[in-house]
Amino acid sequence: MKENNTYHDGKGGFSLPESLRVNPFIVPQGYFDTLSSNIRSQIRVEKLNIRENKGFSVPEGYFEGLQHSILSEVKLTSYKDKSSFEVPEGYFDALEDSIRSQVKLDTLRETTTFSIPEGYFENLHERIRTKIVESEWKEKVTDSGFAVPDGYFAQLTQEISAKTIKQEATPIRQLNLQKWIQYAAAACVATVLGIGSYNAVVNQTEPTAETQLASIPEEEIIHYLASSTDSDDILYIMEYLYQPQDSEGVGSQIDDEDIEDYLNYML
Amino acid sequence: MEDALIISKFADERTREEAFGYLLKKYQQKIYWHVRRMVIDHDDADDVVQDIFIKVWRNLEKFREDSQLYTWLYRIATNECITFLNKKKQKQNMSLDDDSSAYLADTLAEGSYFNGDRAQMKLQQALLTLPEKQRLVFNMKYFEDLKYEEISDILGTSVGALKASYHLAVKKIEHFFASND
Repeated sequence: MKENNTYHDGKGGFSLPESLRVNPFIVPQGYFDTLSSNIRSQIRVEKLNIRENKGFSVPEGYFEGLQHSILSEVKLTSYKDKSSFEVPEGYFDALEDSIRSQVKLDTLRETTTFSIPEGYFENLHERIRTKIVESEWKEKVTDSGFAVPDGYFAQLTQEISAKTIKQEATPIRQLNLQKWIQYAAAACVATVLGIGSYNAVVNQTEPTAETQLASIPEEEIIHYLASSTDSDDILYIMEYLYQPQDSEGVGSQIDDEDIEDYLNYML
Repeated sequence: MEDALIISKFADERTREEAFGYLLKKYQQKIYWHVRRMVIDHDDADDVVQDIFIKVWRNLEKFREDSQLYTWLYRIATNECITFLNKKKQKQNMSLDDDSSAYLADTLAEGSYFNGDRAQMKLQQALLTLPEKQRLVFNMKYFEDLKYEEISDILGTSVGALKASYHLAVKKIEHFFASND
């Protein structure tokens, strides 16, 4: 059946009235003129985005560990702020002086040199050996082994005092007399020896000590006697002095002038 | 009492005896043993020590303090020892160049006032084989513990020479021990 008010021209609905064939839609002015270039630009941008997205990458599991890394970094930063090393009070105030002193010391070390005696190291081992031997001996021998009589040192003090302090109290003349006796005795001995040797020569006896001594100048004998004998020796000599029978006593054969000259010379 | 005080008190006639007493008390034994080790015999040492202190009494006033007092005393003592030993040689008709060991060894062997043991006797015998000056150096270094500088002041010999002398003395004594064991 044909429907009322419907258009059926036998074309199956593809035929429309001309009035309906008008396009109701409109576009901006010049739209279709720029459409192709717009489409081409869009295509270009699409291509670029795809390329850039393909260049950046991250390590595998990066994002899984990212939170832990950030938290660790935060903790480390907090430790850096707290300093665990300390210095003594006033350290930095004194540091400059300390460094300067050390520099001076180092300079001195380079310039100051100790010297040693020549051949020191060559003889050192011998000296050390001597020291070792000495120390071994000292373990066995601490003193010389000599002894003194009981009470000796107390007695010694008294004897020395008697010959020094107490003798000072006696007149000075006594000391001079003792000296005069020494020199006079020396002169007498020389004279007697001279006389004895003269007699021996005159009597043509065998050479004796006297004749041999006669060859020595008297002056030399006097020098020797005066310098190498002490009062004890002089007294000993005087005790055993040979005196010719015709002698009137000690010094009687010598002129007073000679004795005086001799004494002046010796003093 | 300090040496400086002894010297200053001796310079004053009023305190001279007191000062000399202090000096004797301080140095008598040291000087005695120094002499005794050289002359061996006690009676000889007694004579020499008395002569030394008589000289000290007479000359301390003139002491110029250019050295220590004990150095000066030791110097006098040493010189008196050498003078005594030389006189002994003359009396024994020995040359001054000979050492005095023979008669000193006899004195030592007599054992008068010697109560040392065998080791001490042997050391003394060894010492008598040394020249006098070397024996002096050894005694001062070994028995008296003096420093080389002090011995040098006393003997007027250089420290180096003294060290060499002591070292030689030790060697000779060692050789004596080895040969007389």
